[in-house]
Amino acid sequence: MAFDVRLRINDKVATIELKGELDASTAGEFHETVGKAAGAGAVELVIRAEQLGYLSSAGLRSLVFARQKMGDGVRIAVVGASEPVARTIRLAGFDHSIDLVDA
Amino acid sequence: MTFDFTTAEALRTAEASRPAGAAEAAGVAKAPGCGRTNALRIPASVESLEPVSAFVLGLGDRAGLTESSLYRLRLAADELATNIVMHGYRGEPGEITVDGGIDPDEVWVRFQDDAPAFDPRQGMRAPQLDVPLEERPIGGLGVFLAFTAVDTFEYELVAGRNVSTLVMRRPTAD
Amino acid sequence: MAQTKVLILDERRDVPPGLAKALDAVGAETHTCTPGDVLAASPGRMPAVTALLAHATLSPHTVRSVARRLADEGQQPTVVAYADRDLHLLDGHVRAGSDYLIPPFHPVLVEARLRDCHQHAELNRNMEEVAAHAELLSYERELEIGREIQLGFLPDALPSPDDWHIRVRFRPARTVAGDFYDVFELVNRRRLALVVADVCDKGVGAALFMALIRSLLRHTAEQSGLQNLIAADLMGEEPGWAEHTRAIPVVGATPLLNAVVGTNSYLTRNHIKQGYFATMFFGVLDPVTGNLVYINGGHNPPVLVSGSGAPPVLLQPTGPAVGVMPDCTFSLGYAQISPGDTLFIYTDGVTEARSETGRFFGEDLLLEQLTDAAGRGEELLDHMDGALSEFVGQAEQSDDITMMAVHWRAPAKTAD
Repeated sequence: MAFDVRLRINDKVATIELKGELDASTAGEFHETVGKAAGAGAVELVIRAEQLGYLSSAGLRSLVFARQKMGDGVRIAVVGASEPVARTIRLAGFDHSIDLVDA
Repeated sequence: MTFDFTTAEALRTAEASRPAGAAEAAGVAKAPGCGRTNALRIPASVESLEPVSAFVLGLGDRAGLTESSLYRLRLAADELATNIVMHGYRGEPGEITVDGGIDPDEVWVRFQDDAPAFDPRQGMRAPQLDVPLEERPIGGLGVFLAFTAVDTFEYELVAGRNVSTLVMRRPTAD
Repeated sequence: MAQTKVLILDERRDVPPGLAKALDAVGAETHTCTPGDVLAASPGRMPAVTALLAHATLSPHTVRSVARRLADEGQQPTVVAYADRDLHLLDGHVRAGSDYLIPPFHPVLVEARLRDCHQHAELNRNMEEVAAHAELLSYERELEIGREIQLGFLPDALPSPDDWHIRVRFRPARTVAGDFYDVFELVNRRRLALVVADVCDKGVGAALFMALIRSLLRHTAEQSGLQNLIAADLMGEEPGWAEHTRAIPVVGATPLLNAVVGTNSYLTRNHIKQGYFATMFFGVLDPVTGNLVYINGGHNPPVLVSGSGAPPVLLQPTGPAVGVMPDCTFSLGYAQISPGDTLFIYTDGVTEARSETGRFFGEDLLLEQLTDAAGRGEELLDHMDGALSEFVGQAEQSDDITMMAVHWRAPAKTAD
């Protein structure tokens, strides 16, 4: 159950690509990456979740952190989340602040 | 017919985390109803979340849960275990016992720990949808996810131990 | 209706065919963008639009961010969320205050909705003004509560020992003040503490420090007053007698020094970063003898106005303002009040009151008015009030004003 997170920043879009399982033991890495993305001055944070197999509340925490850190003018999108992952995001009500976009 | 077995990985973890001979004293509880039983004893740390997940996924898989039920059972178990590690023991060393079983109509997973008495449902908070994300209290979200993921979520304080049980119904065999 | 200019917001720049057709049929000019397009656009590059149609799959937060970005460009389009399939996605948008459009996208219905939206937007703007006003009112209400709390830190009633007449005027420049005064009994009611102080700054911050400083002064003075008396008793001295012979009111001096020095060290130890300090006059009066021992911490010198026509005496500072310097020295000052005299203590709101032409009231005019005044207690304050308001005219009161008059009534003249 490996976890991998990659950050790309080009122009005004920061893209974080997630692979594997995001739980309390891997959330720290994601959190750090979100911090870097937030510091980059992007207007958009795109989280590619096509290969994210699992998301727990520990991962959601970092999404709140992203929202707090990036300010109101920044759009955050989670792209290609699987149904259970998208369900978790919706259940927590995060879809009010974060766009769930099909891949 | 009831028989116990422990996965190799679980056994390794359990062996490493407790003094020899303490197995019986810890008193891994009997399974409710009949069916298969597994047990896993792990130190209360985030590194243990992976074996917990593997344990639950294995159990649910054998019970023939649908992919979605399986995901939710694992989510609930993961959140509960995280809760015990973070809020139960508060980072202090401790142990969690996880067992589970398959009954004809349901799968159950039970968590026992010796952290201070703590009903996880007390800390549960439904997300405040009207509050902007950046202003929301984040606590209680994990338990909320766990609670809404499974069919039953029970908590009991048994002889000073916290015992939480998650139950997921099995698909009806036609 | 003028031509409707519509910005359609969609992740893929896709517009449901029905909606596109309807917008076309009503002659709307449409632009289609992704949220990223708008957020990343350079200033001035966005088309001016009157309606923002957002696909419901976008989060309300994203839609709001886009609307804000447009608002930065001076545009205030009405926000309408639309859905073609998953109508439940509209929930969050409607709750966030957006209007909505759902299929079938019939041209007449779409046009009517856009027109409604326009009116809604007008109404909303009015509502916002009302809300802003209401918020202001609630702020004012809180200030009012602050004022009431602060009034609780001022004495309800002033003690009035025999033959003494103590009166106060207290007029904050704003709802809450930095000035305060206090009069309380010390040493088993044998002494009277007189305090007039001015915490630097005005408003809520000053009011908080006022409450703190007032409490520290009073608490310390009351506590050490008793100890002092007990100590004197233990030493077998009859304190009253000792004072009379030495003419120096030692009994009052200890609580006074403790209060001022203790408050100064408390403030400099705990609150030096906040930068608040207070100038104060703290006097301890023996009502039987008229002996006054005092500390003037950087405060405007109170004026001792003689009842017998002698020139007024100014009680000059004996130390710095309280809360500025740790470990500084406060000396004691002494004065003798005689029957018929009045001690006038005030804050700089009096001498720094400005006329409409910008002149200060000033100390000279103050002294002149004080010696001219015929009355002594309440009448003196009335007189000063009158002189001040005449001087200030229509100019706004810019600082808190506190005045205290402490008058020892002259013995009634015998009939013969």
